[in-house]
Amino acid sequence: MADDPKPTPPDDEPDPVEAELVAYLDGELDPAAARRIEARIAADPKIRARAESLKRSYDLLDFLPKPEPSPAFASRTLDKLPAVRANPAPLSVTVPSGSVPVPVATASGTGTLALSAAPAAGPTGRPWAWAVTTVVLVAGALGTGYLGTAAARTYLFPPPPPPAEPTADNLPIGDIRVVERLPLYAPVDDVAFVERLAETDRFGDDAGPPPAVTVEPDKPDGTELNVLLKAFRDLPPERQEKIRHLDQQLHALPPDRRDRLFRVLEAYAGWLHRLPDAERKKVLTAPTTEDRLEAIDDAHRTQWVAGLPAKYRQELKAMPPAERGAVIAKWKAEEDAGRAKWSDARFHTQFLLSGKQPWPFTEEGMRKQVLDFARSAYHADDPKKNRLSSPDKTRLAEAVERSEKGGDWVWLGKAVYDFSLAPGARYTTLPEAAPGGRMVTEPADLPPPFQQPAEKRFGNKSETGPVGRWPEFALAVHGFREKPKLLGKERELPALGPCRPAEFRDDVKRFLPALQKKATPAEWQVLHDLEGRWPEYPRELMRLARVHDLSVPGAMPSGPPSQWDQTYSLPNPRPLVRPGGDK
Amino acid sequence: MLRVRDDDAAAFAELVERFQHRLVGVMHHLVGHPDEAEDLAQEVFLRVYRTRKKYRPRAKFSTWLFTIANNLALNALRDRKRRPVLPLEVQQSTGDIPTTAAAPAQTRDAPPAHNLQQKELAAVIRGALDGLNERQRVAIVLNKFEDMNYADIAEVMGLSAKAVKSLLSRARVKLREALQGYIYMDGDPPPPDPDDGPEE
Repeated sequence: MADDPKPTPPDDEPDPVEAELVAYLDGELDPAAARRIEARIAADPKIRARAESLKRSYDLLDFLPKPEPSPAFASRTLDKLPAVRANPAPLSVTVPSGSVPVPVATASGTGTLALSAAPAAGPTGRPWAWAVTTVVLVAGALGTGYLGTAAARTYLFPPPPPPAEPTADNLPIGDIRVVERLPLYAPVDDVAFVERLAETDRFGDDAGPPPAVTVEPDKPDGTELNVLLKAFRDLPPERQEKIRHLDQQLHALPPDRRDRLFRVLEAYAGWLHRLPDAERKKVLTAPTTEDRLEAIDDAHRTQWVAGLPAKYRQELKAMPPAERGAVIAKWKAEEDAGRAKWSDARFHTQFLLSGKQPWPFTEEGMRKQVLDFARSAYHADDPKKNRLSSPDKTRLAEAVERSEKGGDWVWLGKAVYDFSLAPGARYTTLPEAAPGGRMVTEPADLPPPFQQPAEKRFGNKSETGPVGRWPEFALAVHGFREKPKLLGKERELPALGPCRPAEFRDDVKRFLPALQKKATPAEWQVLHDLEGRWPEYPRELMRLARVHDLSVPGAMPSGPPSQWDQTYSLPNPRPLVRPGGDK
Repeated sequence: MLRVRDDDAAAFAELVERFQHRLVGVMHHLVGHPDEAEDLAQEVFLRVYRTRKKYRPRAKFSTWLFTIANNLALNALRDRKRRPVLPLEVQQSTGDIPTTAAAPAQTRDAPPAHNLQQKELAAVIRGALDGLNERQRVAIVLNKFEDMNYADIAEVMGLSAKAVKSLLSRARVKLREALQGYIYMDGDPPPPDPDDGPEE
């Protein structure tokens, strides 16, 4: 061996023949190249020997023991995962195509963010940047609000790029989803608040119907995720816990409802983002849910006025400021009435044209149940207990007449739905007590120390006031609990209605096990923890029933609430007969 | 993997269960030490979990898994080069220096004893693998033990298919050099008169 027969070529340039041989042995040559090298192997013993030794040396590697992971490897690996929770259901939020806001720099190049519609998964945008900005804005607007001072400091004086801070890499799994959706959750109180946002006048219309195509939204990543993570970590622990709870509650909803609420949250977050600073601050720093909703409605009104035709705006400008409020309210009411009439007409026309009865009136039993509910829930026939306003009373009476005499049930279905189930329904009924149980409907039902203040506060307005009406009176008294001057000093108000399983009337008692079967243990625990508190317990009971698409006897019309929604909700009424539904 | 991306912890457990044998095997072949291999494999799975949002269904999952494995293994091997440690089971290996000269049986001048036990043979082969540079070793291990084609190896290692062909070619030549004293141990005669053969 005077010389190396196959000198190792420089590292970047292998011997071309060896390279071909190896590729041939590996089956990586195209047929033509393979034939060429086969010919060379056949013709040249040296080449053949090289191929042989290449193959054999490679085959030797099979002598290496086959390493196996130790038996505990998998469990040790899983143990190392940050707090795995094995429950989260996969989420697919449906995003209306083309409506996801992404930031665009303004022409001035100042870096100010403006929002515009862009495809959800557009190749150029960074779809989550707007959302991160929203969190920044939420945090920046606050001293003591949702995000607390620490978070506010973070965003008012952003630190340099994240150093050894916590990153998404060491975030507990259960929190990853929460952090990803923080831009949607941060400006929100709880699920009840989200439901109020979903009312048609607020963001219900903006959320629109479900999109035809479900789009998996892009999730924040990298720096954006870390910014969100830091914002979340900086929240006070109780706020963190509330946001986690909100996330869990939202994900416990039936997919349709959950997706709709997510669309509402997106609409709300985008709207907040576009809002002028001062108004946004008003919304975010409102001390209670009610105040926040009021601030939102105020801002909506301002926007509505700004969107009026120029002629109307000039008219407004010309009149004394004191009169403007009333005129705006009048115009708004006219618009609402016109819109409602139009929707109503469209809705009823569908049924009239088809000549069919809508669900649930295709069944005799259901007709009777809905009629019974309409009578017992609103007490329209009892002047003392009547809950309905005068126009609603007339509406119901006409609907009942059309149903019973004309066999035309759609009016009754729509009235009951609007009164009791529609978003923002005016006559929510809370489940009633067993006979003889406590259901406070007038001052005399209250313990003596509260009777006089309640009489004074509510007693003189029997025509329009809450006295005599369930649950209006009890709710009104409850609402004043926080203002001791009105109801006597430092006295503990007793429960004003049934708020323990045993206290409800029998059909509600029988309903509870059915609800428990559908609820998760966590949900049931939440309900259980509210026992003894009115109206918290019955409200949670109603909410859980809606979540699991059940109807609480006496408090909601019979039948799955989702089917009521599908049949009677506007402005997108569904076809009369659902496929595979009614006979 | 799509389920893992969407936070299904049970799906992740299933994924670990399914890929642990392949991944630990590959890691072991790369680093030569069972504990270190398991540590690295574990780290690969954890990274898969952490970066699951980046997974796009268009990539074959095993390709993605081994891409992460490749990065981690290369780092580990380079670290080791900076702070050499002596693998426990391959005493003659010094980690970064080709080991073929370390054992007399591996030199061309000292033909192998035919009764060389399999264990010793394994140690020799191990030494030959350790003699490859890190990238060659990764390419060989993926090709040999994962049956990966050049295109997949290229994707895992972030190279062109052509570069993989060169890399493997050099690695195979190096392996042949290291192991040529052992390739005709099974009694087969060497090819006749190959002037570039081991028996020259």
